[in-house]
Amino acid sequence: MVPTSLGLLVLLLGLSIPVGAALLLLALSLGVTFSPMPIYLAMGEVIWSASTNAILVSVPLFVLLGEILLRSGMADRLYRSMSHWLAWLPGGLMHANIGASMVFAATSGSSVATAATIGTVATPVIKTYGYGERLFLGSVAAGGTLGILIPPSINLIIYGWLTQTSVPQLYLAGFVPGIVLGLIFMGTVLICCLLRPQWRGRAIETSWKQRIESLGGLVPPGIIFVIVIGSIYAGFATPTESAALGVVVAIGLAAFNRKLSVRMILEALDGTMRTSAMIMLIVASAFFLNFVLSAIGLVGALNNFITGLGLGPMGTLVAIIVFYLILGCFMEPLPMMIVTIPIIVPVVVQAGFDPVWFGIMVVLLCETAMITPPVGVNLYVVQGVRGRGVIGDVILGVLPFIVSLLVMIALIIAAPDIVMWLPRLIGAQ
Amino acid sequence: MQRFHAIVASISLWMARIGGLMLVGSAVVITMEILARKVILIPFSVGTELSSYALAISASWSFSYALLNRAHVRIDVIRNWTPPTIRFCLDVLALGSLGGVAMILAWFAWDTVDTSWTLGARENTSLGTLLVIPQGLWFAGLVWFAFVCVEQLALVMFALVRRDRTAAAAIVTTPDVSDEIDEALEAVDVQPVIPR
Repeated sequence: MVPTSLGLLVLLLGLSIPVGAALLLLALSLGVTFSPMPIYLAMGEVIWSASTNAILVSVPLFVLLGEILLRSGMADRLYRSMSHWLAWLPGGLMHANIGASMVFAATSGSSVATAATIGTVATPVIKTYGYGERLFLGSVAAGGTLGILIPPSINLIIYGWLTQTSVPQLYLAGFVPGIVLGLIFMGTVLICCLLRPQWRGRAIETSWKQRIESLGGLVPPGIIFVIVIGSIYAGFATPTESAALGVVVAIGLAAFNRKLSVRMILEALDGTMRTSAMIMLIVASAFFLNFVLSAIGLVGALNNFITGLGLGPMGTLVAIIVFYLILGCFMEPLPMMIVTIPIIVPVVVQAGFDPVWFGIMVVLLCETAMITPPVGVNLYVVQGVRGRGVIGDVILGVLPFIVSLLVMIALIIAAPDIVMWLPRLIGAQ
Repeated sequence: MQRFHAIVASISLWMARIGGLMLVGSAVVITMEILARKVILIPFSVGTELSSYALAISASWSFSYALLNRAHVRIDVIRNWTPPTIRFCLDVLALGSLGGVAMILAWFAWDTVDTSWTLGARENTSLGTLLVIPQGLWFAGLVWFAFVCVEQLALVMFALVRRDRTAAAAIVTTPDVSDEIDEALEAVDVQPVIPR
C-alpha cells in the first residue's frame, strides 16, 4: 500500500497536475483501491467541513492583511528607521534588510510579501553605497523568509489545523527561533563582510537625534503586532478573530496614510483571492486525502515501514530533514507542507518528538525551500524587484544564508528549548 | 468567441471580488463583536459562523478566477524540461484534471446540498442558519468552476481546429515567473529610501 500510494503521488505531481487536483485524484484512487467501503460518498460532507473550518478562516484573512500592508505605505518609514539603527555595523544596510524583515514579519504571515516589500525599498541603494551586490540581494531573500517563522504565520496556522496542534502555542514557539535566526542572518552578513571587506559598502552617517526621530516608523507595525498577537494572549480573541482585527486595523492604517481607495482594496482582494483559492483547493483536497488515508490505515502502515527500517528516532528525523531539503528544491513550501504533514507528523510524534517543536522545524525547512534553487520563490521575487542582471547573482548571494538556516536547524535539534522555552513559560492556552 | 470569454473572465473576477468582500465583511463583523464583548459587555457571536460560510463560498467562487490566472500551483520542474509538444499535452492534462476535479467536487457537493434541502437542516447555533443557503452558494461556485474549465478546454479545441497552435498553447501555459513578479511589484507602491 505504501509504495503504491507514494508512487501514484509522485506520478501525479510529476505530470505537473495542479497540486489540489492531484491530491483529490490520489484520495479517490486510494479509496477505490484499498477501502472495502465506498468512501467517496462522504466527500461532500468532508470537504464542506474543511471549507468551513473556523481556524482556516484566518488563512485568507492573513493573506489579505499582507496585501493591504503591502499597499499601506508602512514599509519605507520602517526601513528608514532600521537603517538608522543598524547600518553602523560592518555590512551596513544589509543588517537593516534583516531587521526590517523581522519587524515586517511580525505583522505579516507571508514570506513573499515580506521579501517583496523590503526588497523594493532596499535594492535601489546597493550601488549608492558600494555594497557587494550578491550578498545584499541574498540578505533580502533570506530576511524575507522570516515572514512565516515570526508570528503571525499562515504556515503555522495550517500546520496547527492539520496536526490538531494549538496555534497560540505554535506562535509562541516561533518567537525565539525567529529572533535567533534573524541574529544568525546578521551574524552571517557580519562574517562575510569581515572576510571580504570590499562587500562592506560605505558607512552611513546617522546621529542619535535621527535615530530617535526615526522610531516613529516602528509605530504602525508595532500597533498591528500588538493587536494581532496581543489579543490572542490577552485572551480576548481566537487566532481567527485576531486576524480579522488585523485586517480592520490595517485598512484603518492605509486610510491614515491616505493610501486607501476603492482601486487599492479591489487590487488587494484580487491578489488575496488568487492566493487563497489556490490554498483552499489544496487544503480541502488534502483534508479529504487525510480522511481516506486514516480510513485505509496508510499512516499506520507507513509507521510500521519506518520503524522497520530501524533508524532510531534521530536517524528518522535526519532522514525526514534531508527528504524535505531535497523536496524543497523542487516544490513551493506551502503545498509541500500540506502534502507531507499528514503522513510525516504521526511518524515524527511516534518517534518521540513534540509536535509543536516539529512545527517550527517544518517552518525552517519551508524557509530553506524558499531560497533553494531551482524552485525558490523568494529568489525570483528579489530578482524581480531588482529588475536587471541575472538570477545567478541572487542564488550565489543567498548561499551563506542557506548555511545559516542549516545551522539553525541543527541548533534547534541540539537545543530544543530554543523553541519550547516560551510555550512552556506561558503555558497551555 | 473573444467576447464570450471576456464575459466569462469578468464574471469570474467579480465572483472572486464578491468572495473577498464577504471575507472583509466578516472581519468587520468579528471586530464589532469583540468590541461589543469588551466594551459594552454584550456577547453575541455570529461572526465566527458567518465567516466560516464566507470562507467556503469565497473559495469556491474564486477557483475559476485562480484558474484563469494560472494560480493553481503545479510542480513544473519536469514539464519545463520537455519539448513544446509534450509540454502542451501536460498543460492540457493539468487543465483537464482541474476540470475533472471540479465536476467531481460539484457532484458530491450537490449530494450535500440535496440532503440539507430534504432534511431542512439547520446549523446548531443561535443563528440557526438553513444550511442549504450557504451550501447552495458554495455549490454554485463549484459549478461555475467546472463550467470555466470546460470553456477553457473548448477554447483550446477550437484553436487546434483552426490549426492555431500558438493560441492553443497560450491558453493553457503557465505564467512566466517574470509576469508573476511584475504583478507582485505593481502592488508595492513604495519609494526607495536612501537614508541620509
